[in-house]
Amino acid sequence: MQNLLQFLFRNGVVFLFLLLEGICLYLVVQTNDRQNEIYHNSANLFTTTLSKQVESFETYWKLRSTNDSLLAENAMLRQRLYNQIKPAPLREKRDTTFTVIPANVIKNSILSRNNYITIDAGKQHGVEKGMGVISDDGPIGVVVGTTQRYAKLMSILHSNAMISAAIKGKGYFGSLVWRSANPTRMQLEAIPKHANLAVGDTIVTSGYSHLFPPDILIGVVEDFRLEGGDNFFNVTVHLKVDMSAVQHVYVVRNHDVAEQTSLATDAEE
Amino acid sequence: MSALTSRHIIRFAVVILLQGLILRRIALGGMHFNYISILFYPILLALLPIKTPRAALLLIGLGLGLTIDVFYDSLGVHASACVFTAFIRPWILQILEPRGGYPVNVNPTIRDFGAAWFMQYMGTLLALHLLFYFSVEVFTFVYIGQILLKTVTSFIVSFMAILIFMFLFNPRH
Repeated sequence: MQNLLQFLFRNGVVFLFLLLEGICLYLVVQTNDRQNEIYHNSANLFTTTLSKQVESFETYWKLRSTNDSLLAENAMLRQRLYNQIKPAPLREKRDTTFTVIPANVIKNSILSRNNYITIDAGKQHGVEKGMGVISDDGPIGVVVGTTQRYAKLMSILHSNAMISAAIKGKGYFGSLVWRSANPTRMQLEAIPKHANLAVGDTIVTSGYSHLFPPDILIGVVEDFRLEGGDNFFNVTVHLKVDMSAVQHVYVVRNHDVAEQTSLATDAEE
Repeated sequence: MSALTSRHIIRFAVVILLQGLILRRIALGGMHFNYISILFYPILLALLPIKTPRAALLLIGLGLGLTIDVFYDSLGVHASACVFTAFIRPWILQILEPRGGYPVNVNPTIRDFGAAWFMQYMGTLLALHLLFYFSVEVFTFVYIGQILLKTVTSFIVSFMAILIFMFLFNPRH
């Protein structure tokens, strides 16, 4: 024991060096891993070099203006797409149901139970309360407040968030809610137990709510189970969108919303 | 706090800002030859007093590296290189030790030991620092050629920058 202590003491600096070096290398690997998780599946960060990251940071400023123009173009293409997805009307042709407004996320959180996102488009861009917001990888939230130039969204990672979702190709639909604390998973409720589900089934927006156009990819079924005596499946959905890395988003304005809601209230009366 | 300590602290602050805000952004090789980076901050570790305790050196190295990493957004990479440099510095000093050992009140500078001695000392330290740094940065010896190329090119410009600094200011400490 005494020998051991003497040994440690005599070589204290070497051990301190190994300890600190261990901490540093742990940090290197750990932060790489985290970036790995956050920035999609760039799983080969170990083989790609960090210098590429530095390079990408340097070109970042130039990318910005390019990004903006691409964002606008995307918005235009999406607008066209969403208006095309609607079942071809045999009646008169409508011009547009959906308008798409591009925006950037300037504040985001995924850690709390009720998360909010702030984007840099507001009233003056045509954003209004109650509009759905999507990113390239699926729905991300609903506008709950606007100012002239900014809008606040209720993230889909919010205890009150509810998205009308359907299982692609099978027609069953239900509500997608966020019960877990895991920002990559959501739960799909109200899928009846006779539904012919399979792991890997694609979940898309149903288009039944006026928030989102139909057939936008949300994620895939990761797991489903039936609790004893329950009539509905408990479905876990792996989101396609990485909520921690959402940057460019599109606010979807539905021009028929007033007509649709008035119909709903008429019917209730 | 002695004047010497505060002098070192100020130098740390200035050099860290210089490295993190200015030198980091200089891409001498341009877009297509991204192999040259100017790492000036190892001079901070080199200029610490000769009698600095080894444990203190390691901790200073860790702190310096982590601070630089914050600027480079590469947590741990510079830190591991700095800890390594701090660890090997005493050995380099030992190898370069003049006959009869180091006098009491000298500092590892050009002023006290002359340009030839300093270039040997700083050159060894910087080369090993860069080699370690790029090894950790690339993180795989598959690209050993790239690591060596980066080390050599970066060594040339970094060493020149440090020598220019030393000849211009010729610091006493």
